[in-house]
Amino acid sequence: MSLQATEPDDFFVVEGLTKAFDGKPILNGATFTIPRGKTTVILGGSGAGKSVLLKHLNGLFTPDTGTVCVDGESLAGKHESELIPIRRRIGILFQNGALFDSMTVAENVAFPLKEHSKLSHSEIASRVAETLDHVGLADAAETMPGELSGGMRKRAGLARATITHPEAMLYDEPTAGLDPVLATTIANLIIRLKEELSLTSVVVTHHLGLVRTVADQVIFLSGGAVLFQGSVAAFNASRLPALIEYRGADESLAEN
Amino acid sequence: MSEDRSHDSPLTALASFFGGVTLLGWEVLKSVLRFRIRFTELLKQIAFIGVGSQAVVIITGGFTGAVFAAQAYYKFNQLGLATATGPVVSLAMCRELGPVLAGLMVAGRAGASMAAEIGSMKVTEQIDALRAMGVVPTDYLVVPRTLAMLISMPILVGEAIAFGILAADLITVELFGVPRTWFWEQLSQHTGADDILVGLIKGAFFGLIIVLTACRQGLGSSGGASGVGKATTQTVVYASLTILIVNLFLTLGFNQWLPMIPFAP
Repeated sequence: MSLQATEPDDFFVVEGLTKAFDGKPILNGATFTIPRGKTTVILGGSGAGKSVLLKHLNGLFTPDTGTVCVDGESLAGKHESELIPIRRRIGILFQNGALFDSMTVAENVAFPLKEHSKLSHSEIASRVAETLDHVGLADAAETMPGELSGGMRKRAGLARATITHPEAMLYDEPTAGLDPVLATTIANLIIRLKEELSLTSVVVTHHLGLVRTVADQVIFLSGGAVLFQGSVAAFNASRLPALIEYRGADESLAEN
Repeated sequence: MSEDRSHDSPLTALASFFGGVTLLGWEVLKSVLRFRIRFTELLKQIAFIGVGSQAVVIITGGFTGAVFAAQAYYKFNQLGLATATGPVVSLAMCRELGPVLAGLMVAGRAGASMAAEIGSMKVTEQIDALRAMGVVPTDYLVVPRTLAMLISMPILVGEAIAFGILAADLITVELFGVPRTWFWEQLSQHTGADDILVGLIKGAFFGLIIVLTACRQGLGSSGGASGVGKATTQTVVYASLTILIVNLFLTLGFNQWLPMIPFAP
């Protein structure tokens, strides 16, 4: 797929990204753009390299070749400490929440503020209470992560990622392992956060349901490269064999 | 995901290990020089390493001193040198047994625990979460543990030495009947401040080996629970072997720089 013309309103611009682990190629020249203030869903089968791709967007992984630009700034050649200001503009929800085991939910959520703000203890406590209330975890503030269900862990992770009001949010399989009710709750939170914080959102998933509920744009990843990038309507209308097969498999699963 | 080094040759693995530990040590030094020190974390780690390891180090030091005194007494007594038991035990505890045994015990207790904790954080993406929130893992996890270890280990070694000598006194004086005055007179004549200093410096060296090995292995964990188990085992084995090997070179060096008090007949 050829690179689309880069717009000033593109928050992420990725060009020719390749990455291999132990000689096994995971990404193979992925090229795409993520528009500012929109929600982009990255689809693809298991092992297509979606999560690896996501972690390149905030510099958690360094590409073998290719470039990632965040709001016009290239991440290439940046040292860990130089990436800090960029990472602080981007929140990320990890697959299992990645909450710190040794801290309560409230301490987890307060962590980014304690690290990077000069707010007083009472101001931080108030922000934490407000954010936990926002994700429906007001009663779980003093709970340890080990005592939370999968859905609660994801919501706590979401609260921690958004408490600093980032400009962009990366979601790694936000609905994986959740029942349909909880998955809908998470999808609604993604929509609400996008609207309230004008977030640029990137959602990695293999659930077509999220495309229908949250997406403004869809990217389909296959063999480590971008096979399709376009609107939801264009995705649904696409006659690419891989997309027809993917949609068909999802419909057949829904019928069963 | 991280690089799988399970198929590396032993030489490559060894080079990778020492290279990794050295680079981590350099990162820690840079952070300390920039005064990126988290005092709350430092205090927590001092409590865990220093306070938490006291019982095991005191028991190890005490029983080693007692057994060594018992063995030395039997042979020295046959030669009419029973009062030499004190100096021999004291020098051995100060220069070798105190630091080495304290190092091995701390590697088994605190080193293994550190590797397991950091390894679990790595495989559950908590390290990635730290980085994503703009926190450098070396500053947050490795620097407080390194400083805590450097503060705690000399104290632990001092305790091991003290309890080893006290146990030797108990065995030699109370059990075998050597006069206490003779025991302490001989001991103080042949044990100087340099001997204690050698033990404390060695303790700091061994602490550095333990903490850098544990953090390096933990941060390099991959592959879920089995990867964490492997990192923990490797920490204890690598740190213990490194302590024993480095101890030889430290001993040779200290014998030149801070030699023992010469024997005066």
